[in-house]
Amino acid sequence: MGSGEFIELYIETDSVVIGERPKGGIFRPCQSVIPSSTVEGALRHYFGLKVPAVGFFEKDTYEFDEFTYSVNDKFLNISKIPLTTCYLRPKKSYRKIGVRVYIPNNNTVFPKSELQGAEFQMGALKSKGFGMSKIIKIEVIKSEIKQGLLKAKLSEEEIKVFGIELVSPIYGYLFKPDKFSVGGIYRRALFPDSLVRAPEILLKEVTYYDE
Amino acid sequence: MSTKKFIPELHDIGKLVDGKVRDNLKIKTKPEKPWEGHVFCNFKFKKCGFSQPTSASWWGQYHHYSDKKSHFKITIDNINNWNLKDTLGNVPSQEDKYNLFLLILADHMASSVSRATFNFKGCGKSNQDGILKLWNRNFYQIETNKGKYWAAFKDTNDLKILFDEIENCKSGKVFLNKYKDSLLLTPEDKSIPKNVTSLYTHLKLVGKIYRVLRKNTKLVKERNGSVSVEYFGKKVNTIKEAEGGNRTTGNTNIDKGKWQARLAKCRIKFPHSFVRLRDLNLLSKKEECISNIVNRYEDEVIFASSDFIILFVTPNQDLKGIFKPLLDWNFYIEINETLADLGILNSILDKKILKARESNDKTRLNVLTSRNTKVYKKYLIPDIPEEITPPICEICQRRRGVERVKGTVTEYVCDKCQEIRDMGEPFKEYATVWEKEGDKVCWFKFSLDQDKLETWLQKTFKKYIKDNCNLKNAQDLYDEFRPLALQIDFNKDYKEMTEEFWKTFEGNNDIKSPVAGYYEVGVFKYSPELTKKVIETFLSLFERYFPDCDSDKNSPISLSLSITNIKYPIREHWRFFEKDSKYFMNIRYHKVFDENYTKHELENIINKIIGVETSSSFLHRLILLKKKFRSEIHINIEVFNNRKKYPEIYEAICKGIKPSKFLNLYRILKGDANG
Repeated sequence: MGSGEFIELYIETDSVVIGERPKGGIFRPCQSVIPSSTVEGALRHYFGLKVPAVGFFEKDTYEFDEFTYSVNDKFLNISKIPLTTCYLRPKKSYRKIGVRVYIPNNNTVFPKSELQGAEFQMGALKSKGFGMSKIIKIEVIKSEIKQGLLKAKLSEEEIKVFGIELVSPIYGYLFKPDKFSVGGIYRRALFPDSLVRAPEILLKEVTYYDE
Repeated sequence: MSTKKFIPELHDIGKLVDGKVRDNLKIKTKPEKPWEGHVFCNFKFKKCGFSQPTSASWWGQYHHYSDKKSHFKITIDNINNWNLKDTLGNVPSQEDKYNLFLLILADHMASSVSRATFNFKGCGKSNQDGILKLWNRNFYQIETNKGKYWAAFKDTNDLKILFDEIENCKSGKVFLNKYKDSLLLTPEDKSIPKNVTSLYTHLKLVGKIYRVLRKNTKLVKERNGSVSVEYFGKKVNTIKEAEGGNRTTGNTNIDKGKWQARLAKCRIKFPHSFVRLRDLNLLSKKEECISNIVNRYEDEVIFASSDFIILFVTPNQDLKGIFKPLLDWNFYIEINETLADLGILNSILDKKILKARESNDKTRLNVLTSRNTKVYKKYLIPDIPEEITPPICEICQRRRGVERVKGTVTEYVCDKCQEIRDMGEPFKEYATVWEKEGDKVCWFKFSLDQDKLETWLQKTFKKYIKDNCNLKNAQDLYDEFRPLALQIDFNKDYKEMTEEFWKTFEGNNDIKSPVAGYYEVGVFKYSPELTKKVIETFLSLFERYFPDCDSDKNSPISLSLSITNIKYPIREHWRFFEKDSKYFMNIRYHKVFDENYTKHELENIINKIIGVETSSSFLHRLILLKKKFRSEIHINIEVFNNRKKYPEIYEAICKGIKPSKFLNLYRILKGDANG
């Protein structure tokens, strides 16, 4: 089996909201998987980088909590009913949540020195201060391709660029904004637990099934 | 040839006969025994004054037939050389032999320890009449104390009824229902250590496997007048040829069988999130779809629970077709599928293979690869488009949402999810009465983890062999263990336990099973008293049904409780229930604590700490200390300083029960739960 080469960004994040699609009512759930669209959106917005990327929270560095706030209607100058959103915060013994972001290293020039130590925001409720992140370390790593269960959530069109081959996929949808970031469309995406052959860093578990 | 239908479930009917019957008849048949083993092919009908049955099912009595003089063994010899003759001088038709051929294959596959080629004579201990449930070892004794007895045919005259069943029984279902009580108390095999599966489940399995094979095989008459049995183009003449050997390890004697089949372990999952109470109708829909599948594929479905189905299917059976009712409603199916020779196919072979691959166990891999054994993981998912133009359905997120406005609330829900909502309000009082009355509820869910169950059964069977047998071939016995029938028995007891749980609360309007017929989920108006009753009822039922089962983090059965404000979204309770790595009991008090308990911890805390009234003020003090210092060290010191006054608390800490565990339990069972 071959291997894939990636630029690994080690990021430290404060409390962060990675919203889930279902809303319904006054409670907003949060997920612990960072979809590729979230990481890519943040890198594009803050650094102008149009690169495919996936990210993972470091296990055991975070826990769920809830934040209640009220949306202000500027036109009517009133506050609407309070909403509660779930968010991730650093777990007791951790100062920050650890995040590892992987960008396929396909010989394009990567502004390593500019990104080292750079700060940006990721996820939802940025105006409330969520998602403050800092790039701590950048390095190029190699990851052997193995069969296993995927831990990422990434758009179907990015499968190839990450060196992923499908064995038995689970699909869902990720929102892809249009070029004006006004509207967009839901694109079919590969979801966690899909059985794939992929670089080991993208797997939650290596498996030995027949294909 | 008899025109009556062949009923495979009748083949072991002789196992329901009391030993006294044989002893009584010995006088008439002296010096010979009236019959051998549990089959009646050599029964002395004339001497004993009974008429021999002549139905097609009669030939099922020959499933262990052998003749020492002619060195004939039915499992080894060519079907064309099966020169069987009954006591009336009748010989079986080719169709009868074909039925018997498939019955033997099914019987081998359904046995808990392979007996295809393994010549096991027992542990030297006397046979046990009553079943030994590995998770409830005194089960038979308790049933005996209630006046029950395993044998259905207890005296000589009952043999007439037995032979009448072989002659006239209408179907396997009728037989299983009629003798259910006895079949559940009788082990499939009375010799230790094989006395662990109920005859009921064994017969049910044999019937299913037999009928699947019957549907997919044919009797082929060759030009030379001989016959063969054909399965997907592969003709065989002997049982051994069809199933192959039963070994999965070793370098020689690979013994490849010609016939393969698949065992598919299917987990039913869904992407839906329960936004409103009515979305819980999805669980009813799941039950309805599973029930449709079970009815349509009653032989292929080996057993089914609320989220798990095991299928026995041929290599080319289309699984997507089987699961269509579920896929149509946006459920998806996670399948772990094993394809193997009939001689080695069993429900834990997949784990053995994956383990062998991981550890590169060449002696096992050599055999398994040569026998073309495969393990697949597959997901069956509904067909979904590449793109969806917003909005997306807020419930399933797999279809386009349609705007639905109700008052000031706008939601986007697809037609399928809306149809599920429109099935009705599953629990009307929740939103109308309960919400107005109180502010806290406790949702709870029982779970049975099938993976943990397989692991536990293997581990426990190994220990059972070790404790009871001093065998050179104990490892073989363990290697050839097939836990499928035990899994079915365990699931049956689990279902009974959850049903029994609800009977305890009949007439109590403060606790409800919100989805009709779905016994695993419940909700009650939170009160310390009711919480205690729920926990204690579960503990007592678990003690009754599964006293010898693990009850810690390895427990296959768990109960999760989630206490929150009544307005808290149900999907968040569900998220908690679906969490991996559950313990025996998992309790979450929203924004207060999240704790796991073993049964031992729960019993210790409830009986020795919460039950002792004098310690309540001290526990309150400990709670205050915890709030103040957020550290367990201070609590430990306080407990140590008061060890003479409150020995039960000191004792709990000495037993390794963390202070947070008993303080948190104390909070919800005594009502100081404000954090």
